[in-house]
Amino acid sequence: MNKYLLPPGFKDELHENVKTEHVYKNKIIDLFLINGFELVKTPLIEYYDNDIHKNNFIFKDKEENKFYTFRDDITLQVARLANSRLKNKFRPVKLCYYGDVIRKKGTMLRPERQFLQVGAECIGEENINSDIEIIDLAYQSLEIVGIKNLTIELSSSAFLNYLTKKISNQQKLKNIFKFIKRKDLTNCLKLIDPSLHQYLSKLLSCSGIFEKKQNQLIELSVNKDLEKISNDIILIYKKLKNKHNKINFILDLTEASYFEYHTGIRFTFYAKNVRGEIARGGRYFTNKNNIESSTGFTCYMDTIIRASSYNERFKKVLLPYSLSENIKKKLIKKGYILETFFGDLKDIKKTAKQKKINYYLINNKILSIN
Amino acid sequence: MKNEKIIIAIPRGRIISELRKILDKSNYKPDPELYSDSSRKLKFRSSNRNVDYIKVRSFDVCTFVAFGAAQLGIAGEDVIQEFNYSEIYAPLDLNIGKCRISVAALKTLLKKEDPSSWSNIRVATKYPNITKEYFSQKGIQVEVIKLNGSIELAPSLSMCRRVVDLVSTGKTLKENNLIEIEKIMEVQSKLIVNRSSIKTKTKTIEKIISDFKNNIK
Repeated sequence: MNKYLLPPGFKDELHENVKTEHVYKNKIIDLFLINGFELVKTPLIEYYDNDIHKNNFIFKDKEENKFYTFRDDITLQVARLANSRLKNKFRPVKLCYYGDVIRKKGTMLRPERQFLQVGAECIGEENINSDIEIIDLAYQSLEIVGIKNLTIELSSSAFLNYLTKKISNQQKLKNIFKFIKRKDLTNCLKLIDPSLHQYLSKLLSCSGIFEKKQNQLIELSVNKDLEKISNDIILIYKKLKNKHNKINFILDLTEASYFEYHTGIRFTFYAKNVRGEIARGGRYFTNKNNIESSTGFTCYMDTIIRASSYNERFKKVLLPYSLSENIKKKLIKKGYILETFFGDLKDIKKTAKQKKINYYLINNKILSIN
Repeated sequence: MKNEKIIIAIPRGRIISELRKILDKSNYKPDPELYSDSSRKLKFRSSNRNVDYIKVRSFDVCTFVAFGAAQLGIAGEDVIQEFNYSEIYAPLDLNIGKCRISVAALKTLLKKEDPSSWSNIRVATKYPNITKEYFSQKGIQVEVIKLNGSIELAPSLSMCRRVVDLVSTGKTLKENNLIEIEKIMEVQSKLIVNRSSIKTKTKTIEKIISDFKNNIK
């Protein structure tokens, strides 16, 4: 095997891409910090837990005879943190984080197995305004890194759960979820009792532009719990639309996977002509006893960079080694990135060209290589 | 539909003549060259300047749509199920291309076998995922031989005990001394849609879906 070959889904990132990721991550984290979210750092490795670790690398420590795993989602670690080290802290606790996550398997659509995850969580606050704050923060985060034409999808698995809790056969349920996820009504109807056909048909057709589907959402709210959720969804829509008129809102009550941990209202961000989701989040319980309700969102930096409309251009200049600190400081203030040249000054232009640095400095003047 | 370019992926092969009856009635009638077997072109215009068609292998339609290279496509349920992409919706039955995926075996072998005693089986198919899922639900481990065609030959040449393949009239099976044992699933063509596209170009794509719906018999 070639010694430079990397395992599938892992890669060496170079230059501009890494710089862009660093700058965008900092912009997003800075936004979280000024909004009162506190930064936390969780470990890359944890003890393996069969209940929560589904797509993780697992390895065994022979001496301790214990299984470890690399994290594949920081949100779960933040929930653990809230339940342990921060359990006595006054609620709500607002936390933000960034870090690499690693997955055992990639997919054809997303072959990457290591990426930088960034997110924010508001723990222990049930007020609907905390959902609005998180969605607004997610929107602002994406906007400051140049993602345009955003669509927010509002959803809740409660409507789907109302239907599926009437089905006890687990294998059947798994197949129903598969067809619902695919919006394949014909095959869904073959699997469920005729008494549920009407509700399922309405549920699947309640997807599309929010304004047009609002009445259908109300119709689907057949009990008090669902009524509360639909009122909350409508309130979130109204408040955010009022603040950010240019966002497109859509509704989809069937976007839930079989192993989804979001239990309440959830949201997903999409952008025009960008493959897949940009960011997602929603309400969940931070502990297994369903006591503490929280809300948060997460995004992956590789997707963010792919979706951004900004073309980050870094102005770099090659400088003589002997240049005074004062001039260097002035250049930094003007937004230049500095690189020192150690050779003979008559070669500085040639070296800048070879190193693909757009500018060089000679006789205290900045000149372009072109 | 201003400025929203849409690409529809169409499968090559027999299905295209059935599909013509739907497409020619739509507001997105394709360039007639799309239906020509002799044309080497892969991309075609339609009567609507914002809608183009691409012609790809039937097994590749889902991949083009899942990656967002095409926003819509026509795919068989066999292909949709085999790839099971999370980025694809299949909201509309087209009532064309109806057939089934079945398990078949050599007539002569059937008499000597006791399948209830099997823990594993070797199967030739172009649907490895559908095959694995079907047999694992029966508690049988499957060793798949992935073939891209002439699957019916495999049992008579002692490559496997069973084949899993598309069956329409059953004529090919019969001519190769095979018998259809079990039906795995019914198949028909569906209109498929890229998930992100319907979320971000909702009006345009809903309009195309509704147009297709109006033209289905």
